[in-house]
Amino acid sequence: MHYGSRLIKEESGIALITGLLILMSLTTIGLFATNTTIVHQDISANLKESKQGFYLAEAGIQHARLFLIQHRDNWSSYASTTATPLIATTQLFNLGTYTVTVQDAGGGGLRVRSTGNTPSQASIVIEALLRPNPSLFPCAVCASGTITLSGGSTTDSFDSSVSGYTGYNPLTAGSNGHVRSSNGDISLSGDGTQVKGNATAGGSGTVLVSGGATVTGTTTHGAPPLAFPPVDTSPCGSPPDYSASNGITGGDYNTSTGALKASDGATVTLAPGTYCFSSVKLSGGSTLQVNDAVKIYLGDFWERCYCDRVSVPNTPRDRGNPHSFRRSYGRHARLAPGIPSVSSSVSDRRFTPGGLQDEWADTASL
Amino acid sequence: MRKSERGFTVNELLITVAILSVLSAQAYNAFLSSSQRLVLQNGVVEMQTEARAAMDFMVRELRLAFGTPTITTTVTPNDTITFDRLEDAGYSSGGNSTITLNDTRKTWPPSSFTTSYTVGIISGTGAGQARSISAHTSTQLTVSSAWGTPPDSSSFYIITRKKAFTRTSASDSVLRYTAGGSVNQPLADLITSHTFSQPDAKTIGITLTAQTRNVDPKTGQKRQYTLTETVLRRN
Repeated sequence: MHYGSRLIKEESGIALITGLLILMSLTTIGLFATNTTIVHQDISANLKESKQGFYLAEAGIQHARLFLIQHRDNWSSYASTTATPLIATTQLFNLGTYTVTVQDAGGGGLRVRSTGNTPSQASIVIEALLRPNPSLFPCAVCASGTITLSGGSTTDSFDSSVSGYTGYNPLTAGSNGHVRSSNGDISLSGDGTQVKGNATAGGSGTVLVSGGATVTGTTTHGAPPLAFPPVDTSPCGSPPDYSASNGITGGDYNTSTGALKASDGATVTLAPGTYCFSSVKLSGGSTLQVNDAVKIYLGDFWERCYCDRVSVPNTPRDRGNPHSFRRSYGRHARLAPGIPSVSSSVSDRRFTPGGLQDEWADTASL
Repeated sequence: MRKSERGFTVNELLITVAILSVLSAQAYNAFLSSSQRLVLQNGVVEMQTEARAAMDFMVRELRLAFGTPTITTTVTPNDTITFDRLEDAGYSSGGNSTITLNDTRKTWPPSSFTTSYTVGIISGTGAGQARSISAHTSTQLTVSSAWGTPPDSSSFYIITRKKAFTRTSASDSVLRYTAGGSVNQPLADLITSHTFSQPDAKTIGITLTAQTRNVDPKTGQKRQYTLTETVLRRN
């Protein structure tokens, strides 16, 4: 008591206490400001991490998609019941890594799961369900009626994302050159006539193979009829208003009958656009060449004569379907196998069907 | 006892008080302005956080929209987007009855789906049908009304849920969302306006503007922050 009052009277040490109080309040303010800053830095860092992880996982999906497109023929070997590694952990510079597993999704589809990991352990998972697009190339030659291949005609397929089709190349040729009729016979005859795929006759039709013709795949009779997509022939009018000769180079075209003919090795070139013909007849090794998007509506029939012949007598207007045009007709009908569609979704449950645009070869030689 | 009890003169004290008052006035000014700035900056950060969180959420959801969303006007032009958010998809494993869809590859946790979820057949047998989900086990969905054509193992199905982003009043600055049956839950505050657009078939554009809660004393106005995103739909 006596000692304390003496201290206060002397006021010695007051500077220390005041100084300490001021320092304490300054420290509190400083700590508060630092804390706020740290919280906001964390928010920004988390945002960056999640975005980085997402894009890493997305990179994995794209990697897997490209890989699976290029290995389209081996899809069945990836379709296991449990998730198996497809792409080993891949380092992207110092941004992080992605790992991809694959699993059977049923229906010929694959469930692809890509995990993106950032260096600070953020982890984002994207799942995508990839499935072959069944609608694009069901067959090299599709017909609602009968199909006749003779005299060395072949159907074949190739993957245009791997390389172009230069004649018969066993390395790039596929086994999807199917021939399919909805309700009619398939007649294959003559040496060298070959279907590199399945021959399937629908309805009451049968597959008739004779005289050295071969089918590399399976032969089926009495399959269910095909549903051909409806074709809008309105651009050609009714009765058909055949195209003028603009854009048609080579061959012999009659504007009044709408008949396009090429014979003896001639090449007919069609400029990009839409054409309405009554018939197209290629004979003697002739070629029909298109270098860009061409849509042909046929009001009568399509015929290729040089002993090999594809004719569709019953519903010729089906041939107007641009897909049909691109996928069929010819010595070597060029096909890309169904290009898978891809879709993806983020987090734990997500997949998507859906479609990408498919790639087409630039030049079709028939 | 004490050698000197002289203390300070009045002059000394006056000078000291004068100097101290000038110094403390300046210190107070500095404190005041930095605390104002702190409040303002916190407001800006809050606005940006709200806007970013809302945008992030919307981008994530809209990326999974199935089919073309519908954009309508509720309060301001094109402020409402309604879409089917894809929740799951796959091929049925077959063995379905007229009111079930099996997928033995799944292990759906309990209560994953309610009647606000829809299962639709996209391709294969029974394509084009959609039913709401009345019950489910870990591998089987029960639908609310019988299938016209029961799906089989060729059936590709998707599970979707109707969702929407909207606002309910021009005066409140709250961005709201609807999922299934729920009504207009708040998603983010401080959003003064937002617009959806569809530049082409596969993309959705989102623009939103956020505003600070308080007025900036220097300019006398609230600060604004506008974000624009383009989402590429996966489906």
